[in-house]
Amino acid sequence: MSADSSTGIAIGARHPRMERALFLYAPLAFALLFLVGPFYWMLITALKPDSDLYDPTSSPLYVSAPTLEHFRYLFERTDFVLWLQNTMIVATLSTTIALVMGVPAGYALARFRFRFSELIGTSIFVTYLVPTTLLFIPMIHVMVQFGLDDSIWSLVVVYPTFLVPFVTWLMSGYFRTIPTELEDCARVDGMTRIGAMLKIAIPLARPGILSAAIFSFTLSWNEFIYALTLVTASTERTIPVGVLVQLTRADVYFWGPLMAGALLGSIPVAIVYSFFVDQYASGLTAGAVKG
Amino acid sequence: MIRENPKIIRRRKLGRRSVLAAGGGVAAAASFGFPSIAQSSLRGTRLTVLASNWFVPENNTQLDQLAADVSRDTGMEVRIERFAGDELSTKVASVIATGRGADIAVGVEFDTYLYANRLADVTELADEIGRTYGGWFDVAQAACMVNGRWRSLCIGQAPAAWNYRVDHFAAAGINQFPDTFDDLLKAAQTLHARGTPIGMTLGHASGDGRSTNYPVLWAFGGKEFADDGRTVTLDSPQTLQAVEWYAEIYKYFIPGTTAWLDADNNQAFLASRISATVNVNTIYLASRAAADPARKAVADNMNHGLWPRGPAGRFANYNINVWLPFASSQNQEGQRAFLRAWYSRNFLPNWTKTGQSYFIPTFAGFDKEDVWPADPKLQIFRELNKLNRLPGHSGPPTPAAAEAVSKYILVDMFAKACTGQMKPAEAVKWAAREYEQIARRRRN
Repeated sequence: MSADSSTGIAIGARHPRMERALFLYAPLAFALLFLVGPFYWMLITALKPDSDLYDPTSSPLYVSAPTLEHFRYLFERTDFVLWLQNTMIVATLSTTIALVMGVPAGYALARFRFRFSELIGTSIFVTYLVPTTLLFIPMIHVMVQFGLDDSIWSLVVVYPTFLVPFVTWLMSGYFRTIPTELEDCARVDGMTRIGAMLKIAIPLARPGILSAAIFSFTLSWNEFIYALTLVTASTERTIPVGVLVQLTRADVYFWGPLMAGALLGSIPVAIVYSFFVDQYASGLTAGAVKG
Repeated sequence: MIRENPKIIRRRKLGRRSVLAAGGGVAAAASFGFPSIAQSSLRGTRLTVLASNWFVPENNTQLDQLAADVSRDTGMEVRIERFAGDELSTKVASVIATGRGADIAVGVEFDTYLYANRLADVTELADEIGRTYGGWFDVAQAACMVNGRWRSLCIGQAPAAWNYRVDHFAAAGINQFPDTFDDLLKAAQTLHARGTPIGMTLGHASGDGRSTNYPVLWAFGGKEFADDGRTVTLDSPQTLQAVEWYAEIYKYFIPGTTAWLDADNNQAFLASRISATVNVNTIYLASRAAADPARKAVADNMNHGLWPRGPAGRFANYNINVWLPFASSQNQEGQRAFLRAWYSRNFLPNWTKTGQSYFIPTFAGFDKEDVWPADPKLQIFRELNKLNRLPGHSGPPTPAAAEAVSKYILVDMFAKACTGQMKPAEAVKWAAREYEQIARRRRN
């Protein structure tokens, strides 16, 4: 290294441990605190007895006498299991629909050159950005026409309206990273266009499809406005709406069960992420360096 | 005792005719009250009722039982669906916009004139019910009548009082809750110095934001609108005086009150972090019912106080709940059957008493009914029930006043001055400009 000892590189060369601590572990620790903090807070609050929750002398960062009373309350005195089941049905089906429609659409936008293809691609993504607060009233009218109002099936139909554009946009970017030559070779060997898509492109795009699936699942799982306005019956509610309704009374919030519900509600999503995290990361970054 | 404001609780004069009418009303009540309902025309129909999750659990159970009884007696399936407060407003808006999802809903005071042309006319029913209970308070008429017709029926109001820790005040040498704003300021200073500050909600809390801040404006003589309900009068020396008082007392608050939502002052009080705040009686009821001795001790050591008297008098502002009968309902006969059952003598007084003055129906005659809790710490709510003013006071409630509430302009006016973001005079001028814009838009 040169005599320029004022640069970070020179410091790093002489103090590699310090460099790692400063530029790797410190930012990582901060990121970890930022990302895990809310979950830790949920866990601690869910495990604290009420006496600790309202005790100003009790530390908010640890629990001295953990209890499962809030979890018991959640399962025994609310319809949490029913909401969980509804949420799972809605998220799984709407994600499946979004993938079935969005993956071929993304492939078409990536592979075919036709008039206004760029414009159509951009327009599809822009529809994803239209806020649900603008759309929920027309959507209710549409669901009434379909005879699906006040049912979770309305959510299964409505959620793909914002999931399909997202999946299409994500997948079109991913398909562009897969060399077209692979499909061309297959077609030279006699495979049809659809065959090439199904047997060559889609298997190679599996990380991208998993990313789209995980994102779609999470968006459906957490969605609130449609779940609130399209469904009235308490037996048809999803977790975000159900938890809020049964665990608040006027201006009093049942923080323990609320946090227990939020924690348990986020576990299925966390499990899905943890299983596919490697492919998810590569799926998200694959399109980053290619148009 | 509070001197009743004749403008607020103007009663129907009792004359021979009104006595006869009242007698007829009682007879009518006996006939429309469940379980004597036997309307075969309702058999096989359905009625969806959107309700909030009232604080007293037994009140919710009573509503469920009422629905079951009406279903049994009429053959109409009555379904109660509950939503949390702010979510219920969204749900009501979607029913209004689409005409689907419910037949009746619990609404708040502004909903009636915001949605008047989408609500059924229930004037005859309101007159019957009013006669049964000695007449509606004026505040109920203001909340439920549009152009002389009843478009909703008042369920009740949740009086907000000063909740204060008697032990903290006594330790600071204050033996009763301050009766003037100057005394309240001095008390706040003393309590702050002793490490037991007070806190008033200055955040965008849909309930406490109003009940905490509008009374300050009115007590100093400030008004949003003139009596015509159209002319903005906020920029006045009286408003400035109110803002200056607020900016001064804010120095002695617990930190963080500008971020407080409806639940936060409850939590701070229950955790003994503050010694006074403005709230309905949910703090007291929650701590009284708590199994945890520390939280129960809060109930033992607290009491409720009236708003202090300002240069212009003593005022209060409470949340009102109303029944909204949707005009889009295909079952308007069912709506009336349900509402008759709700207001029947078999149900309403018992529901009110069970609620421990959390929600109090707005009938002049209720003062003499056996609906009041025996607990001495809740006695004050009987008097508070007579003090309520609606936003827009002393003008009529208007969509402009409602919009100002929904945008938290008054709350922000105080908050901007308290936090030093603006000087008090600038905050008043800012708020007046916002009001002017709303009023202009509503006029056009």
